[in-house]
Amino acid sequence: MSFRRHRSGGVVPPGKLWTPRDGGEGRRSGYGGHRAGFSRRRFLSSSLGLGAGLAGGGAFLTACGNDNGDGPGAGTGGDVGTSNDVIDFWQWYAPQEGGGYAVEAQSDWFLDLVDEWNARGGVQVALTYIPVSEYIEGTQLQSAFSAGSGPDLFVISPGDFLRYYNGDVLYDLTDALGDGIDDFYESALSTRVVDGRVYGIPMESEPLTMFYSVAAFEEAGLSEGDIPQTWDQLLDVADKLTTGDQFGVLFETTPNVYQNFTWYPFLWQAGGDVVNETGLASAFDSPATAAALGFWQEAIDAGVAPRTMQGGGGGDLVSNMPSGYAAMAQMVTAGGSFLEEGAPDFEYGMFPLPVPDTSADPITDMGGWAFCVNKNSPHAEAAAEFCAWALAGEESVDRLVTWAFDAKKSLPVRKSVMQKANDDGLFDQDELMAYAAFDVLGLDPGNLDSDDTPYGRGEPRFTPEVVQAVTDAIQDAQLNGVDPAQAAADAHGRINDALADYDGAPLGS
Amino acid sequence: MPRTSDLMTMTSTRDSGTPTRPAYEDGDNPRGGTERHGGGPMSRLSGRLTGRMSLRRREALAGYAFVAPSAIGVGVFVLVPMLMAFVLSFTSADGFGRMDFVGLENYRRMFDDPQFMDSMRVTLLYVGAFVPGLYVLALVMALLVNGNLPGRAFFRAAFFAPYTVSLVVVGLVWRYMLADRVGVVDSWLRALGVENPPSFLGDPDWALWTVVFVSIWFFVGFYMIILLGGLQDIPGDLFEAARLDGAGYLRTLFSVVLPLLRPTTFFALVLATIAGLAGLQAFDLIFVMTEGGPANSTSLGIFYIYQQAFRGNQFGYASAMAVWYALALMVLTGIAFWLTKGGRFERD
Repeated sequence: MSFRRHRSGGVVPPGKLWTPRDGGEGRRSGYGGHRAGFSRRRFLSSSLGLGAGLAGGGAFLTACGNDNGDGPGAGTGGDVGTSNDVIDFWQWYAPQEGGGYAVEAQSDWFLDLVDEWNARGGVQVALTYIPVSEYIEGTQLQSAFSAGSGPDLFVISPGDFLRYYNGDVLYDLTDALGDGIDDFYESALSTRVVDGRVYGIPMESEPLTMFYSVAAFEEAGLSEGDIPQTWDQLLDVADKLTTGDQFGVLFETTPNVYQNFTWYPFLWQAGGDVVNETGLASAFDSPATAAALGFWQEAIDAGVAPRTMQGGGGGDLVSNMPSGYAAMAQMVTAGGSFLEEGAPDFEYGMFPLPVPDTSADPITDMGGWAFCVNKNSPHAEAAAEFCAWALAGEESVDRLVTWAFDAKKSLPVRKSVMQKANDDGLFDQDELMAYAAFDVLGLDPGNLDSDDTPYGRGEPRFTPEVVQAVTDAIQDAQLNGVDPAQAAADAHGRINDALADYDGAPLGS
Repeated sequence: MPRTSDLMTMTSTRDSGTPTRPAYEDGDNPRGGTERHGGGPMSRLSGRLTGRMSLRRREALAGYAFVAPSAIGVGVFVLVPMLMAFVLSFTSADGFGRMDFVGLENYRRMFDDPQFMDSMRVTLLYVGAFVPGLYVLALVMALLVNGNLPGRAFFRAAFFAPYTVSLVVVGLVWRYMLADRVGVVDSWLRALGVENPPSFLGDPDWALWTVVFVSIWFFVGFYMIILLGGLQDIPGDLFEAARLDGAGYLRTLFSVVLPLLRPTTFFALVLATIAGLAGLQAFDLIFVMTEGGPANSTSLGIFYIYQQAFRGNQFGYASAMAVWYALALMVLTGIAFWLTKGGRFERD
């Protein structure tokens, strides 16, 4: 596929820009950039949906006086407790207004979800919006639990799972899920499971991929055939893309959980891991760790990657790419929708994460949020039923298709949802989602019933001490010139120290 | 002739807003009381005593009422949390309600923790650069705007301006300005012929000094105002005398200005040290600009404590570090007070 076609915008024939694993070429082929990922119609219908959602929100407020769940439709869901009981649901999506298409679509989705549940009678769900920065980096959720007033229901990322699990505040959702468990991809569920019991129900997966600027490639005289497949090629291409005021590639440099998240794939591709298979001892001191650390170090040392990020950090593609600061960057596939919204004129493409050598699989890391229930909530059982109903029930399939394709551009984590989207031809209409599912995760469109996500591995769960040790190793190698092997060895010791008297759930993914 | 006690009464009641007619109506008036009861010497005495006591009590009550809002605020939001942190520091509190008494374990661990010791090293470097840098620059600016500088009102306002901006905004703006290659600072340096300007926030050798610089930039106007106040307190005839004695500018500065500015200097230095160790900028700026990086080079003690508490759920351990921090501050301030007799120097 040529770059000219990318220029033509969103009129590319459906299904032409991804070629799922056709003889190994497909997953390497990259994803052509385009401008209009969402149709006007979808945008309009979503806007209308927001209006409906807000109106529904009003209805919900007045619905609190409903009878308890004796009416039709009750009995399968919110029939534990009465409609005077309210489940407080903390998340960072709704209700909020403004902020563009994605924000509204996501807020809508949550409002509709809660309306639908509350209309059934029984225990009501009320949404409490927490800004995402506060949710990820802040103290509000933790402080609420510390004060003994944690929310009944909340969302968490895999990175936070162990903190709350080991804090003994997560309710066992296994029974509420029932047979629904089998519908989830193993890689999506495993990081929320301890001893076979489920403590969080994932709503999505967000695999990491590489983005590139079409204009930067053209200016450097590069074409699609130059899309890098290996680490060395990436550094080489990055060198060609580096100019006086543009960096060839951007890897996160801010010391936080997100930096770890974006680095793990390279560790895994090289055959390494943070902890061993028991999940209770370090495996960090390995040549693979040194190689993955060395890869990022080389990018900095060669001057092809920046030491500082623009805007909100490396994940903020809109601040880092359209401005010409970086020609290639790493981000979850949903970043494409951020670019289309934040910089509609910017032409970008995507390609799977480069590997140490061509024999390695382009393993990637899948983030994504999950619903969790506070086990100390008086409505824990009802909240668990809500989670199962919202994310795992038969009737939730359409809702989850909407979340994935219309609202978040994250991938479904259930086989039936993936199948439904495929049956409805949605992957043919949405190149970004098709690329994410088939090229990045390596799913087989002909066999969506498989439990496996060939290249997708769940974002691992670690304790804060282990996260910090890994962050320090990355920082030392990447930015402080420390020998990668030495950085790996230092962190190895710290991880083992931290795990010496650890008695929580196993780590890793 | 009113007696002294009457004068005192008058004075004290004037405070409560009735200068001419004290509020004796309720029978607590020492004289009114005795008149009304018409008792003998003993009862008169006791009446006077209770009257005086209750007056004192009233005055005390009024006093307490005046300080109560502050006292309650400080008590609830500072003293009680401090006390709780102190208690927490002997436990293994995890932020989820579980805590066991662990004695001095957290304190022992603190000094075995290389990351904590490293953050202490960074803190010392930061304070060591921040406090003198801030003082000298603020003094120079105060001297400038204290003189006959044309447009000095403008400069006073301009120098103070950064202090009025939110620290988060300050951090964000400086981050943009200091960005690698595309930042305005980088561009200027290149225009000035610097071939490869450093990554100010991305290079561990530069990041701490950059944060010190931005911290000083932020605070300098505030300290300039404090020092300016001190400068304007110096009687003008002293300058005149110095001039008549033939003292030049520097001689006047070192022999007249600085000695007379010592109380203000003391105040500014104590305040700056506390700000450097535990001030908002030590946390907010760093959180926005570097998150403690690169490679922990800007991870100040206060930031490390936050990380341990809110990211690591080590509330007991974080409390121990906070207590240690508070003790260190108290000792430092105590030494400063002791050395300077409470900052009064030889003038009193």
